[in-house]
Amino acid sequence: MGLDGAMRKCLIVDDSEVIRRVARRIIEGLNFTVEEAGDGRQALDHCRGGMPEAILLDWSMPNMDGLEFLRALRAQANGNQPVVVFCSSENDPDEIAEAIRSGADEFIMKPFDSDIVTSKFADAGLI
Amino acid sequence: MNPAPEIAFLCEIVGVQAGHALGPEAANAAAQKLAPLARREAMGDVLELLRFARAQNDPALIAAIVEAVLPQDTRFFRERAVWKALRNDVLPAAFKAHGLDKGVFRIWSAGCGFGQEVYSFAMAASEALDGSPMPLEIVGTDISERAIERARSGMYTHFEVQRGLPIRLLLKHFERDDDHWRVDNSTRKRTRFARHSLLSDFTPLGAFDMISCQNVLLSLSPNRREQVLSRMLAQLKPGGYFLTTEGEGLWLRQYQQDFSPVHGAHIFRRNIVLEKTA
Repeated sequence: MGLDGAMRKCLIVDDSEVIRRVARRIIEGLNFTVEEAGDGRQALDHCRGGMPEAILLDWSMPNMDGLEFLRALRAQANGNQPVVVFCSSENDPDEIAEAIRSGADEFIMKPFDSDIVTSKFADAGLI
Repeated sequence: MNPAPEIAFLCEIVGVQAGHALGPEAANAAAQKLAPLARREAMGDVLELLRFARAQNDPALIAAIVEAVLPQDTRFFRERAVWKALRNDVLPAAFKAHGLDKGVFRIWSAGCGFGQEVYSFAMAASEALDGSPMPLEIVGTDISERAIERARSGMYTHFEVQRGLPIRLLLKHFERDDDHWRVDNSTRKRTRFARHSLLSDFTPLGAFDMISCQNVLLSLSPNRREQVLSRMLAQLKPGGYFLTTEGEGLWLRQYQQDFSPVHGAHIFRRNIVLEKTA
């Protein structure tokens, strides 16, 4: 809950509906309301309508990938507000470091489970 | 009703080898953990494995059974708030009090399992030192040979490195090795692992500046617990720190004249007794 008692919002950005559904179930369990986007461009539209507190972000997606979205987000007014947790099958240390340098707060390597998401949300200061 | 002889045998070997007091109900649950071992040993089921081990009285098989049922802690930086206090306050103060020129600062992680706590200490110490050249040794002990081998290897799975370990520290202290991650050499060189039972003599391990005893005393019978705790505290230097869990900290009460709380019910410091001058 936020200070005013409202549920905090988490945007899940992934081109896989299956991943979005699993992630939604886990993140709703952490007391967030969840919205979904299928690629970076949709996600950017969502954010223009109001910044979420948290974003779970896939890397490889059509139209606009996760890294492009992240850089575009951080360049926006209030774009530093959301805590961004990357969630990608990428596991190359150099690539992960690049995501962190580009403004990601945490990084989940797929495959994930609820324990990992909870642990990473805590590492990112979200819970 | 008396437990099945196989379950009674399991309680007996876990008690004798590891000092764990396993009740019949917990023993039934623990026995389920033996299924993979039973398969590996080509036994029909867990009970057959236990009957076979008892009939053969094979020390290696009995040790493998005890190891398989003991609980393993599988997280880095378990108890987030405690680690934050350690990194930001307790370790910097302890290093300062110890001094850079007073020899090795020694930490003991008792019941270290697969080593996550040992490496958590190494990483937290590295942050607290921030480049100062403090000689440091973190000793992990466990009764399980398999756990010690794994801990010493510093190899963790994709899942293990994502439980409690922030990505920043994964990138800083680990190297990827195919689909595993390995603690890097500069972090590992501050660690040492040894198979050691809580029921054996601690004096060969030497004296420590900090001892971590978490979820270790819980399963001991009251007599054993008191004895293990008192022998453990004997290895702690004056001014040294004792880390434990909230529940286990209660058993420190009888030593309260010698200890001061440093962080809640988790971290205590042994008082330094000044010699009286005439």
